[in-house]
Amino acid sequence: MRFWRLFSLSLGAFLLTTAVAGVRAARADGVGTPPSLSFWGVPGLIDMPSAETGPDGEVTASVSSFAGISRGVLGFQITPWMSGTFRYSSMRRFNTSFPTTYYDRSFDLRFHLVDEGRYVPSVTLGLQDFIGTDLMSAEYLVATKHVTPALALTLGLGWGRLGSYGSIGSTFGTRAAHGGLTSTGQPNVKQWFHGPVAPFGGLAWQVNDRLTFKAEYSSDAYVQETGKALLDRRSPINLGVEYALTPSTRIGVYELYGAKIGVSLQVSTDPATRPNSLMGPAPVPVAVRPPEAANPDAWSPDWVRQPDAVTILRDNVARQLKSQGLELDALAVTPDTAELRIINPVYDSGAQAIGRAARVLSQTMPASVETFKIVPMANGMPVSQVTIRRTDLERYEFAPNGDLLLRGHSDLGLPDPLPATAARGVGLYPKLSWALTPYSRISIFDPDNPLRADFGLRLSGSYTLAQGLILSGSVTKKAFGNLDQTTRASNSQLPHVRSDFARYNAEGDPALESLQLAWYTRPGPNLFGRVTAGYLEQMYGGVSAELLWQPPTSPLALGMEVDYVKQRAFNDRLGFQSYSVGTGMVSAYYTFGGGYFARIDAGRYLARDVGATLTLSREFANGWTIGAFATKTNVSAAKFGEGSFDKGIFFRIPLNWLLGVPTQSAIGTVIRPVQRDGGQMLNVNGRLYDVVRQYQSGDLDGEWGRVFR
Amino acid sequence: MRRLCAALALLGVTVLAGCGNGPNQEIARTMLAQARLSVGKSPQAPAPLAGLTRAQVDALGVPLLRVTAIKLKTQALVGVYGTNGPVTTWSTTDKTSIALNGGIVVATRGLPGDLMSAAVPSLAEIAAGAGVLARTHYYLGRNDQTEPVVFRCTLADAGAEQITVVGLAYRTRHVTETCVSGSQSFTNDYWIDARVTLRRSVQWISPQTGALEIENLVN
Repeated sequence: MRFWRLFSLSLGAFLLTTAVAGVRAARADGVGTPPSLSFWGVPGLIDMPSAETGPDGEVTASVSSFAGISRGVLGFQITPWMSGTFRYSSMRRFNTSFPTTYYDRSFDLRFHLVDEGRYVPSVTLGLQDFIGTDLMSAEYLVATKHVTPALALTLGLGWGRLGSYGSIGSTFGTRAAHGGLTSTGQPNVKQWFHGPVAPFGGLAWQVNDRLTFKAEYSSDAYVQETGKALLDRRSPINLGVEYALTPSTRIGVYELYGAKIGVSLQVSTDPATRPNSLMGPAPVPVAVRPPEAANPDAWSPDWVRQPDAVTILRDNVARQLKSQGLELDALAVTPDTAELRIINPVYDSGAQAIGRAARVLSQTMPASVETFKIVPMANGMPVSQVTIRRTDLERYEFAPNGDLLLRGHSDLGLPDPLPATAARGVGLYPKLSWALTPYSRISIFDPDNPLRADFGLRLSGSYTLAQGLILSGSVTKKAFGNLDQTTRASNSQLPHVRSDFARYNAEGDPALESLQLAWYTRPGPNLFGRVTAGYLEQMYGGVSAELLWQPPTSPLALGMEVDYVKQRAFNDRLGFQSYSVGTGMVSAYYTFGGGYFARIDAGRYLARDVGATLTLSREFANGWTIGAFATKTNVSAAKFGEGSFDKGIFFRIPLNWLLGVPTQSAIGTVIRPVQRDGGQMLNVNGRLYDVVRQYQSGDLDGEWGRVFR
Repeated sequence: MRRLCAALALLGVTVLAGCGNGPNQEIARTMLAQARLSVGKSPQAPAPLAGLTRAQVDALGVPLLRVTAIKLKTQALVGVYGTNGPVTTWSTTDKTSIALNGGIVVATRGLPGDLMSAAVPSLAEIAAGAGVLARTHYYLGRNDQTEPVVFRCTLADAGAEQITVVGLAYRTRHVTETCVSGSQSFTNDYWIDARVTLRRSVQWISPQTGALEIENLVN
């Protein structure tokens, strides 16, 4: 039962999206429905994989169970030819001592080598549990061909687990035994495609849009499981039937290995497809100026000589911006130019905010003002400047594909310095905003209980004292939960910089999550700066300083950060423990285009270890992000402990994608197979790259279509 | 507002909603609205405007259209929000807008699956009542990218019809425009009077919104 609880909660956010969604993009190639998943959560038959591949970007979640063996799996089609899988498995009665349930985390990679053609089958190479224990590991080469549109045949060769029954020979000698728990997390390259190899295969018959029958011959002997009397493997033949409740949700019932009944649930979603349309009030229309020849007075630049012109215009602009959900930071005007600095607390799309600001300027500026310079502000910093000719705005408001035409005639560059004559926004400083929200804190993969969680209320506030100077903090109070029941103590040989997380979770009630003063500044044309001091995160307080080099149209950004922090007391109030450390990082960020993003951080981590982190992610223009990271430092695998090095996956789902309404909020989390102390960074809020990227060319151009929304 | 906070806290709605003075109140409202929808209450019926009289329209004294979103089961009066050359933007009081060029829809904002921009036949071309024309709709499609959908449209003259729009009768010609793009198709209806003014039309917007019936209440 624990496993089902884990599934329902840990994939809760995901299921919510698909439940709200209930939609799914049709397959691009138009061949049948998306592939159904095996008990291992990858495209496949029942317990065997197939060569089928999901649509690019597809995210899948599945849970399956038979004979006390349950697997919960998240899958992501990273590129059209590569997919990744994270799997959490549990086997009841596997261990003889408490806890008797064995839990296992594993990662797969699949490479789609050949697309299905008229005569050619699709071919996929799979690495199952490729950095794990040898308990789940397997490699396979598999081909699938649709004999008719409804009938697909699959034939494959497997190694490892998939070579354990009915092998027809061996390749590359014997398969070395893996080193056990201490060497988990190392790529088991020396095992790949070694040892006995066995054929497997089967067929899937899709009767109609909803019903599919499956039959397969399994080459997995379930050696460990039968040895522990989990399973009595009487037959290699498995049979099953699946039913699609919706195009994105499937359930299945199976008969496995001649002895057991199994069930599975599979859901999928396409991050590029919104479940709900982009909504929110219409923008104010563009106000078109009268022709100059017919109305020369309206075009006279004499208005600029009126002494209070700029303050009157500022008040008009501020009022109209407010109706669009935006705020005015400053306005400067000349007879032919308006420079408007805006604060955008609502729209997740920078282009949408800029488009609305341009419309407001068209409504308010005298006719002689031809150039609109719009500067979005982030935490008090002018980030970039979009220059739009008013004539273009008027011309392209209703032009077919007008957003693209407007972008072609607009410039993105560095913000101009604000002239001394500029009128500043009224009531910006000091300014308090606060929120009372529910919160949840979840701990997964504790061997005693794979899911613990607390639920309660979080009071958060931010007080902007002056431009770029922000005091903020948050407090949580638990209402109910079981995080305080964790009994496992960290066995880490390193300073316990993160592995005492359970004590913070148990003792921090109420918890002062953070209380910090942050100062943001622009020290140079392409430079952004931040200094933050205070209680920075759940486990550390101190000082953090950061510098970022990010030209507005460069795909590359470089940053550096130095922190001096002290470990906080477990009760998350004002006290500290004795451990203190200076950490520092240099970082490089690069957007490859097409939504692929890479980041490298190198430096000194919290446990005084030295090394580097590589982060790769796929970022959709709508804000969906899915990625993975790995950190290797000078801590040896043995000293690091289970997992050998720090790694994990993360995702972020914007609420705007989910609900359609204007909001910058998102849900997301980082999932680590195991939380240890090596390669850990400080979790300071408001790092510069995330603060400014919304208004740089990558994010702005990715969503430019929303400029007229 | 305080009741909303309490309700959300009681419901234990994690991560999604809450209360405060920030911009996220919209989320809480949307969630509550969706929750209401999911317990089975349909959106408001178009009843309030069904009994509209010509005297009421005249009393308002401004140009108005009555727009009915047939599939969404909503109806609204829209007034002029802005003018850009031949295109007039009409908006409801709660800022859902449609932009018309000679009565032909060229954009919507605030409807599901908004028509972002469009290249459409002119009313004069449609009034010809015969021929094959192209029509391109631009939507924010997969991954919020602007995507064109090109339709091939066939005009047909459905003959003379007398129609009544809020108490006023018009002698019109009924023209249909049947458009196809791949597996997607729709038919627009236009009732055009002798002065080549569109008195009534049913124009398809997007798969999500379906068609809008637009009645011209301007005398």
